[in-house]
Amino acid sequence: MGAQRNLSAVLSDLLIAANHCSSSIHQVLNALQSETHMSEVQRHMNRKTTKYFIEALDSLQEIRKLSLRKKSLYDLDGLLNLGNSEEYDSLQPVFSEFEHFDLHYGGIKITTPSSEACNYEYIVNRQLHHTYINKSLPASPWLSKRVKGRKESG
Amino acid sequence: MIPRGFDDIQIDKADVTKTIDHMLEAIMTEEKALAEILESHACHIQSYVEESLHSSCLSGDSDLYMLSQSLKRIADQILLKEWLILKKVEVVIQLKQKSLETEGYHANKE
Repeated sequence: MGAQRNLSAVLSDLLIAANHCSSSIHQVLNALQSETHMSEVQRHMNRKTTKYFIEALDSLQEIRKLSLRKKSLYDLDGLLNLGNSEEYDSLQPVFSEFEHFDLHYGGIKITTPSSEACNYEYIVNRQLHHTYINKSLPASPWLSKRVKGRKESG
Repeated sequence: MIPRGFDDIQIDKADVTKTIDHMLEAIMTEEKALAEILESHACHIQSYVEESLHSSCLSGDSDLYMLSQSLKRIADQILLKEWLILKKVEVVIQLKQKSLETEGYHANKE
């Protein structure tokens, strides 16, 4: 589990680095746009430079999406394995990331690990997100049993 | 001879745990390296902009053009790596599931 937690932190570092990179690019693009007196050669060069920076921004956005997806997979896997209320609470911010994905992908497929000799596959979509956030009973009887148990013990 | 499927293979729990740990370590090292590359590029661009804004204009700067080109290339490569790592993550989770299933099967048998 230790490695899993560290990996989650490393993925957060990657997200921060990608954000830093994006904001630096925006800084360059703003600086380029603010310059008005340019020769035709400079204008041509700027267009090419801007094109590359915008393409890099697109790739960075994709990198962020993939990192979030991995982070969500790890964290959810850890939660269902542990059945630990502390982990469950720490997942709240992760669900807001699902919400983010929901907007972009229309839901991610999450395969939960088997801990009660059964396998469940969930489609984490907006509906499930609200189920968790509002703490109402989830659709799966297996999961609702676990959530109920946590509430009672808490 | 038809090769046996994954389901038929007897898995030793200790081996699986070790494999999962190794895979997680490898993934973590890769992610760390990628984060450092991105961070260093971000710092590079930022310092370049700050320096250029104080000394001269950025327009038509060939160094900036080279920088944009190299950043685009790096970002594309990192994106590919990230996709491959995602596949590894899926394998780790699958392996973990398989190991838990085997564990449950043996516990039921006993």
